[in-house]
Amino acid sequence: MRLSISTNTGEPIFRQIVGQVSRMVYRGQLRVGDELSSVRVLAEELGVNPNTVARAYQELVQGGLLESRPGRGFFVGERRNTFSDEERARRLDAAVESFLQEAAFLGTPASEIKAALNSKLKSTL
Amino acid sequence: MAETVIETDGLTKFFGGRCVVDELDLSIERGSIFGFLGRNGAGKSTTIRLLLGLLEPTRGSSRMLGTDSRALAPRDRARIGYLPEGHHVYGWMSVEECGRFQRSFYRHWNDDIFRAVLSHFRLDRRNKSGNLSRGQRAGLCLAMVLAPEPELLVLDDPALGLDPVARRSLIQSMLFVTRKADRTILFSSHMLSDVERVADEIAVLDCGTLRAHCRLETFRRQVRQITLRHRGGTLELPALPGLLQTFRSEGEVSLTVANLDPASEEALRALPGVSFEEEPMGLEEAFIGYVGERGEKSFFTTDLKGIK
Amino acid sequence: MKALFWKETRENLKWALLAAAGITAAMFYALRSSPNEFQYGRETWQTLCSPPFLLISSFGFPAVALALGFLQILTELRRDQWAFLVHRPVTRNAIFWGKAFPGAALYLFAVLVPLFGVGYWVSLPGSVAAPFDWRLVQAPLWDAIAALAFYFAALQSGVMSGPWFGRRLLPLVAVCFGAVAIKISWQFPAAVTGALTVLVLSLFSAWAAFLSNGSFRNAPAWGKAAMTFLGLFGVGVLSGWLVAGWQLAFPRPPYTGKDVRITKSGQPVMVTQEGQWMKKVVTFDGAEIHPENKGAFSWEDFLRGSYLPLRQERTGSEWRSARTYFMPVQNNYALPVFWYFVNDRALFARYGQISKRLEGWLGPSGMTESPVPPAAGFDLRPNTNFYGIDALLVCKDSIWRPELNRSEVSKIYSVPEGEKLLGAQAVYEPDRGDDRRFDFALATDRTVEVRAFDGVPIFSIPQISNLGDYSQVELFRMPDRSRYFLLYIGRYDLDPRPPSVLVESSAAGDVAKKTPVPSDPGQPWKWDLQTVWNASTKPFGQTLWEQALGRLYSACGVQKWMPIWKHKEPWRTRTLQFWGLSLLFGMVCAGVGQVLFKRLAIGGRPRWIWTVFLLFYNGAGLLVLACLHEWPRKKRCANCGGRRSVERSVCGCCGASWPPRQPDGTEISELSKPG
Repeated sequence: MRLSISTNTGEPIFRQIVGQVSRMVYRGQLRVGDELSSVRVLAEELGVNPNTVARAYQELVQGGLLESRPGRGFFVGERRNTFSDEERARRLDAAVESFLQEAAFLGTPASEIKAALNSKLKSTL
Repeated sequence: MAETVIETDGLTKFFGGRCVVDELDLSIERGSIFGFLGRNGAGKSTTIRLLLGLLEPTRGSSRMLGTDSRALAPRDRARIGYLPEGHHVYGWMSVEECGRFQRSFYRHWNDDIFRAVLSHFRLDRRNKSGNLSRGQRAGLCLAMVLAPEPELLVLDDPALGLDPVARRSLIQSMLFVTRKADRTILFSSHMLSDVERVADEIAVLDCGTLRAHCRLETFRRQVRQITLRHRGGTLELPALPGLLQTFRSEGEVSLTVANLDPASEEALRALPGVSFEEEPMGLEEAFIGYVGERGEKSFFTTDLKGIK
Repeated sequence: MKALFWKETRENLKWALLAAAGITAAMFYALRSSPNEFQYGRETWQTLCSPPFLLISSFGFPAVALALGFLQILTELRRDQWAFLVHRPVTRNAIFWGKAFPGAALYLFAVLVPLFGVGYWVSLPGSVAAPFDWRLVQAPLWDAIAALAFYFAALQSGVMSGPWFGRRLLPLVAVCFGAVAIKISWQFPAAVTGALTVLVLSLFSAWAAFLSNGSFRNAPAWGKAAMTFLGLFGVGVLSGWLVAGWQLAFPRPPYTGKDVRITKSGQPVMVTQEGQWMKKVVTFDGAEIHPENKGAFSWEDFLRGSYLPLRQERTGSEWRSARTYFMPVQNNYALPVFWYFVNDRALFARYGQISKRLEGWLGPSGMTESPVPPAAGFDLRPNTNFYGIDALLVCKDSIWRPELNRSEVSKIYSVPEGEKLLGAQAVYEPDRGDDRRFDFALATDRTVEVRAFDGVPIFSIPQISNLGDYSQVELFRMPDRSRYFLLYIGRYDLDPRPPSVLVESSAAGDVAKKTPVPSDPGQPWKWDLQTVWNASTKPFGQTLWEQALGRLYSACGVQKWMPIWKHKEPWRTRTLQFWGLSLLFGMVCAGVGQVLFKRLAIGGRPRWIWTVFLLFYNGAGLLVLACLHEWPRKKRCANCGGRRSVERSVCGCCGASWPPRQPDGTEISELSKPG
């Protein structure tokens, strides 16, 4: 598991960890049942505060990506939804709204938006 | 309920007629990694010296591990590791001798830690410490400070003058000590990236006064940068409490603001013909915005106009 | 502690070795002897007490001590290095002794090893053509001990924080007292008391400075006392320098005195001198006389007398001079030998100029051509040394004339049974030239005589009847030997002082005239501004200290001292008036001090102690307190407009606390203090 943290960006470190771990799971670099480095080890390896790592792991557990087995560590879990369908729909709606607002400000035509979204979907997920 | 390990009460220090530390009220809880930020001459080193009882406060008081700073006995000092600015070692001693010298003062000494930190910094124990590079010297000092396994670690600008690799080693060694949850670290730094990586809480000292004392996340959340785009002319802004800086450029006003309250945010959003955008801010920019010069600036339109 | 010892020794050994090498080189340079270095200012025969050697010990040793002290403390005082050191879990005590003990040891090593090394070299036969006595090492040894105070002063000066002139410079100035006391005090006990007092004070001051982290206010009580008294010595030294500088700028009028002289024509006169100038010459009747053909009289116009002591005055020996132990008696530089009179053995010793070795001894039984001294020496009177001025050796009951060129000594006079020999001196004759066969005068308790060089009587006169009234007699002879004058000087230690008497006699020894010398009333004593100033600024504490020391010395039999109530009038009243003035000024200073105490926030018991201190140490004490104590900074009070100390959270006059900072809305604080 190789993560890279960049400081001095708008994105807090724990978000970076959450994002990178999720991407690795989606891309299959981490499989169900794989064990993640312990909070301590990952913190020392990355040179970040252990509390930050713990918080990121916590977030991932809540998001259903990881599961924590007390006394043993963190593992990539079976995909399950922790959010209700309505909640998920609401969050997605908010994300799309803000994305479209930005696109509209730039004056991008709908076709370009669709093309960009499709290519991004292919490359990341 | 977390125990308070460092506590100051109206701590004030004058050098001559100049107030260097002004009515400082700090409290640091056990187990936290505390970043102490401020510009050069903001009073960070002086505060640390006051905390360690190396300077006499002009008024006010401070307590370390429950003991008044002025009355720290050797027993208390053994529990507090202190790495002063500049990483001084006696140049004529070898790395090994430095360790032995330091060790003679401590009842508790974990030689494994000493060795581990030395090897982390790739230090040869037979080397003369006067011949070490700045980063290696920092490593040696850190090893000397960490080996007695202090409960409370006070580092005065440890990253000063270190290259990125040495800085990373330093952070890793620091984290290594906090393996036990009851270890507390107070460190001052200019390296905002280091602070961002490791600090739980921060204090921002500006000209001797404490301006922020909060969790790192809170600081990042509270200092915001907002860009208002508009069409031509000058944008009249409502009065904003907590406004730090205003940058004006063509058709754009960029605001750095602390503690923006919901009412003011609404007022900004409601300005006619203006788009409200918030840009995420790195810690460094937030810090610069926070302690940098206040007020209105318009770099590219006025300041640099006369420059050819 | 062991680690600190090791560290300090390792760090400073190189400097100590360098200093030792430098000192050794300088010592050998000072001792480089050439055969006729007998002139004043060189005198290499004194070896460890020779002026150039003592120059090294009294200036070089303090320089080494200062250098070692500053090297040890200033290299450490780079702020963070010092912070790193003192944060280690050791007591300040350990840090002080961990520095001071190895430092002092290294200093002593740097000066004592060369000193004793050079001493050993000098003691070897063939090194210096002079006798050697290990007691000679006393003078430089005490210099070394006194200079140790400079080392402690350097430590204190390095550690003290605050204004450089008071807390940093004052200790450095103060320790000069010890070095000066050792250098100029003629009397050994006074010298040693001065030097040791300053040494102890400097040690305790430096120690306290370490304990209090360089602050005066936080020093323990004993440390404050040590710093304060050391400061007083500093003020003493400073005022000494000021007075010396003042006198250099405005020299005092030369010494004026009156003296009885006899002109070449046999006229007794009173000469008023001002320095070397014979200002006024009057006869005993009061008639002023003038010399012929010139403006003023000079020494050649008067007869020169021979001084014969009538009483055995106990004189202290000069402890920093080799003359206490031996004395060169060179009279012929053409000969390849040096002669010395060795006091302990009461023998003359001869050293070869080339071999620099002891060749033999000359005693009452003649010359012994061997380095082994004969058992019997001359039977000298107690407490007298041979000063070799006329090469007349005055023993208990005989007078000897050494003729060192021929390695001979002959007895030229033996006192008759039942008489007591009091003194002898050559009779001065202007045309004597280099001829050593001179007449000499001698005094016994019965007669005063003049004899030829071989002891043949020339003149004799019975001793004055009331001999106990006089301290000495001065014998004058007219150039034509027709008349003799005997001037009996009245004892100074009697009250009232007996008048001096001039006895005029014919060559046959008949008393022709006996004239009392008109007494000199001296300058009338009067109060003036300078007297008042001197009397009042002299701290009463110093007076008490001097009285106590005087009492101690007199108890040890070193010095005479009388309690004030035994003093004679008008001196007693005058002394008491001086003391009164000093105390009065002390009260004024204690009053002024109250204002200072308020400013410096000294209250409670310390305030009383300081008040008493100021009473005893008036102006100097006030100065020391002002120099040493930390002055709190004042700021204008926003509430009452007065000046308030930044050290206190409430205003001294209106009781307001400091105005809280005005929040500007940018403060981010979520961690409120518990409680």
